[in-house]
Amino acid sequence: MTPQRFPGQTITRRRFLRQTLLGAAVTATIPVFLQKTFAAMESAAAASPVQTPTGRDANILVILQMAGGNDGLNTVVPYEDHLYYRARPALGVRQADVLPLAEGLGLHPALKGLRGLYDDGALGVIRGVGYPNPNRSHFRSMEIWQTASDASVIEKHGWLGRYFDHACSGADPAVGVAIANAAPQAFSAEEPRGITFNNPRQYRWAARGLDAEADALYAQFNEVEDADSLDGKGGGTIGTLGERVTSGLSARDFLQRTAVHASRTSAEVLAITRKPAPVTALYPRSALGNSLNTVARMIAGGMSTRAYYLSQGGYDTHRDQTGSHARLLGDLGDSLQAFVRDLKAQGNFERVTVMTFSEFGRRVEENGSLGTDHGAAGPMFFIGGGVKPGLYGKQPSLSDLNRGDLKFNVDFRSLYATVLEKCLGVESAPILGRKFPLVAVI
Amino acid sequence: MLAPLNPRLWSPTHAAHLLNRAGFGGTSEEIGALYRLGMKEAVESLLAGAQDDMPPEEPPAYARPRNLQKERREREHLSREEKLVLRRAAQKRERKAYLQLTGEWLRQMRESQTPLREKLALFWHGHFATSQVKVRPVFYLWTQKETFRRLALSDLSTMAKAMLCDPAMLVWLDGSNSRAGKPNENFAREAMELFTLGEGNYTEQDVAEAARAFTGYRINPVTQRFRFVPRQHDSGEKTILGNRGCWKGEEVIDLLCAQPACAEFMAWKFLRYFVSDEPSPAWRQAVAGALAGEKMATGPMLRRLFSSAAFYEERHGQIKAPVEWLVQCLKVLDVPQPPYDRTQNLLEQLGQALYRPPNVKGWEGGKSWITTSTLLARYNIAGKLLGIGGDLRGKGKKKRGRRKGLPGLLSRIPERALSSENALVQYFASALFQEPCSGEALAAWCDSLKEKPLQSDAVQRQLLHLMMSTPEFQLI
Repeated sequence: MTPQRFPGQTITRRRFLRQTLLGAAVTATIPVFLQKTFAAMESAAAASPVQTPTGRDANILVILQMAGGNDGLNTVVPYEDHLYYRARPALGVRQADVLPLAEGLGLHPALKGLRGLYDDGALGVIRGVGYPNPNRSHFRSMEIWQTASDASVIEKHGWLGRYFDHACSGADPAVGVAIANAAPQAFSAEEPRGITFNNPRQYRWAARGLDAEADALYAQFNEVEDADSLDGKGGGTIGTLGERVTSGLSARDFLQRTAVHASRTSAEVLAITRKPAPVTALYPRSALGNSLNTVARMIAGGMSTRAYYLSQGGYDTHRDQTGSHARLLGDLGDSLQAFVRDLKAQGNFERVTVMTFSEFGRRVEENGSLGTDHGAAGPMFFIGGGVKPGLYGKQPSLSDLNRGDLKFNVDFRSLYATVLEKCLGVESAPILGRKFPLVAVI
Repeated sequence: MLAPLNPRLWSPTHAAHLLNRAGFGGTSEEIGALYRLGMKEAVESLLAGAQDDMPPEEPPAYARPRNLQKERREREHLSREEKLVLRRAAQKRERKAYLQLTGEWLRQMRESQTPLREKLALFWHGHFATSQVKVRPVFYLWTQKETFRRLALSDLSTMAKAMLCDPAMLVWLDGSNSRAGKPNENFAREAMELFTLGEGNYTEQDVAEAARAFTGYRINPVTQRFRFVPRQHDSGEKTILGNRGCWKGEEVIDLLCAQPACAEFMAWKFLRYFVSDEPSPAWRQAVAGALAGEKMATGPMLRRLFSSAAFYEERHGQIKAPVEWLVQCLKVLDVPQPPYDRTQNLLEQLGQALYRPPNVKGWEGGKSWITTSTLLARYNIAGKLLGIGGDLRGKGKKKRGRRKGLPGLLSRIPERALSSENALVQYFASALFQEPCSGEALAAWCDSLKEKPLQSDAVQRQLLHLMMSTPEFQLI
C-alpha cells in the first residue's frame, strides 16, 4: 500500500541528508540516529507476529489533567459529615445544593454534567486517591503523577512514554496525542513518540504546495529517506502542558525526530479537521470544550492514537475560590457531557475511557483568604462505555488527618495499572515497575 | 570549567556565540563590531550595559497606576448595567495596554544597545514567573519588568527582596492579603521551591513559619504601590531552616540566599539559560562556586562565565527559546516587528508569550520548547516574516494592499554574493547560522537555485525560508 499523504504530490524515494547542516563533529550521529529509531521501529514491526492494535478499532484512553490541585472535598462533598462544615465554614458547599450520589457523598452543584453521566451508568468515582509521603509542591507532585514514581525516586521518563517504549515499538509515532501548548511529562520517553498541537488548523507547513521544488527540499531536511516504508498510518501525540521533556536523544536528534513526526502527521490531522464537524453535541466555548471537541474529531476521523492527553488549568485556588472553582467544575462537567454525547453519536463510546486526575487535593481547613492551600489525597473520575459505575475506594476520614490533609487509601498507580491492562491491553508491571492491585472500575 | 579563554583564540565565531547567548544575536556588522573589541572588552561592554544605573522612569501612558479605591467610590451610585459597561471598557483598555507592554518589551529586546540587560530581564521574568492571567493591572506588570531590567545584574537576595515588595508578585502569589494569624502559604512555598532553594531543601514546617514572616506586605489601594502594614505582620518568633528569631520577610530572604543549596539551584538555572540545556555536574559545581563566592551576585559570575574557554565550546547545542528565536529572526532578516496584537499571537503559537508563563515555575525550556506543533509554528512564522504562506501585517494595512517592503537583509546583499549560487547560499548561511554549514547542505541549497534568477527577491526569500525551516536553525 502506498499511502497518498500529500495530495497532488507523489512520494518518491528521497535522498536524506546524511550530514547535519553544521559542524563535522556531529555528522556521524545522524545515520546512527536513523538506524536506532526508524530502522529499529521497522524491524520490530516486521518481527511482530500480531499487528499492533491502533486507535482505529482498539480501545482509547483519554487523560484529563485538572492542573493546579483540585479541591476534592468541594468536588465530591461529604455533606453528611459535620466535620466538613466545621473545617469549611465559609467555603463549604451547602447540603441543599449538593447533587447527591450515595453514602453521604454528593457532587458540587456545578457538576450537573457529571451527575447526568452518573445517572446514565457511565461514571465511576474513585475516592481517596494519592500516594505515600505526599508532596505539596505542584511541580514535584505533578512529576510523581506523570512519571508514576515513588515519592522518594526521581524517574526519568513518563508513564505513558514507558508504555510507548515498551508496548508500541513498531507502532505509529502518533500513538499518543496531547492537545496543549507543551508536551506532557507523561509522554517523555527514551524514544519520543507522538505529536502535540493546540490549534489543528495551524498544524501544517504553510508553504506546502506553493513550489514543488521547495517542497522537495523541505522534505529533504525534515523527513526521512523512504518515508513510505515506515508504516505511514499517520496520527499523533498532541502535548503542550509546560512540563519537563526528557529523552534519550541529543537536542539535534530530538529536533530532527520531531520534524519527521510533524511532517508525517500534519496532513492527516489537517484532513480530519477540514471535514465539516458533525453537529452532534454542543461543547462549551472553553479551552477544554474545544480540546475535547478536537479529540472527538480525531477519534471519528480514525486516527491511530491510543492515548489522548489534555489539561484544564486554574485549580490552584488559594484565594476567593467559590466562584472560580464552580466555573472550572461547570466547564469540566459540561465539556465531558458533550464529549460523551458526541462519542455515542459516533458509535465510539464503548471504546473510550476518560480518566481525570489532579496533582493533589487541598488542605481540609480553609485558609484566611477564602481559599485553600495545597493538600494531598483527592478523587478521580472515570467515564466511558466500559466503566462500571459507582463509588470506589473509601472516603477519607476528616478526623484522622496527616498534617491537616486527607489520607489516601488508593494508590494512583493502581488506576494506571487498571487502564494499562483493561483499556490499553498491556501488562502493567513492566511499565510501572511492579504490580499494583487493579480497581474494578473498568 | 571557568578557566579563561586564551585571548589569541578570539574569533568572529566566538563573538557571534557571545552575542547569541548574552543577547539576541545580531547582524554580521554587529558581530564584527563586537569581535573588534577583543574578548575582554566585548564581555565588559555587555556587562557595563546592564549595570544598575538606570534612571527611574515614569510609567508610560498605557501603564499608569489607577486609583482603584476612588474608582470604586465613583461607581457606587451607578446602576448594574452602567457598572457592567464601565467594567467591559476597562477590560478592553487593559487588554490593549497588556499587548502594548509585551510588544514594547519585545521591541526593547530587538533594538537595545545593551542586549544583556534585556536578556537578563527575560531570565528573571522566567525565574519569578508572573502571569497576566491573574495579575491584570498593567502598571504592576510594567513595574515588575522595570525592576527586572534595573536590577538585572544584582545579587539574588536584592532581587528576591524587590519581588517580596513587588505589587505584581503580591497579587500573583497572594501576599497582598496574607495576614498575621491566617498566613497564606503561596509565596513562602514558591520562594523556597522555585526562587532560591529547589524542592527537597526545606521542610513543610519551614514553609509555614516563613509564611508568617511574609505577612503584612500589602499594596496601597490609592497609590497602587507597596506598603508594609505592621499590624498585619506576624512579628512573633519563627524557626526557619533551624534559625530562630522574630524574622521579617527580608531577613527570611537573606536566610534562604545564604544556604549552600541556593547557589547550586541558581547555578543550574543560569546554566540552563546561558549555556546548555543539560549542564554537566562540572559546570554546575563551577558556577555554584562562582555564585557562592560573590554572595550570589550575578555580574561577577557572568564575567567569568563569558570569559571561559568552556563557554565557547557550547556552541550550537542549545534550543533557542521562542522569544530569542523571534527577536533573532527580526534582527537578522531586518524586518519590521509585526503589530502588537499579532506579536502576542505569534509568541503564543511558539510557546512563550511574555507575561503568560504556563505557571509559577516559568517555562521549562530546553526540549520542552519543541513539539510537533511549535516546530511547525517556527517554520510557518519564518515564512510569514518573509511574505511566504501569508504575512504579518495589521488588518487595516492588508486592505489597502500596500506592497510590503523587502526584508532589509535582501536590500544589502553585496554584488559578489549574487555572482553564483554558491556565493548567495554562503552569504545567507553565514547570516543565519554563524557556523560553517556541511558541504551536503550547501550543495542541496545550491541545487535548488539552478536556473533561477539570483536577483529575484522571490528566489532569495524562498531560499531563506528553506534554510530557516530546518532543525538546525532552531539551535544556537
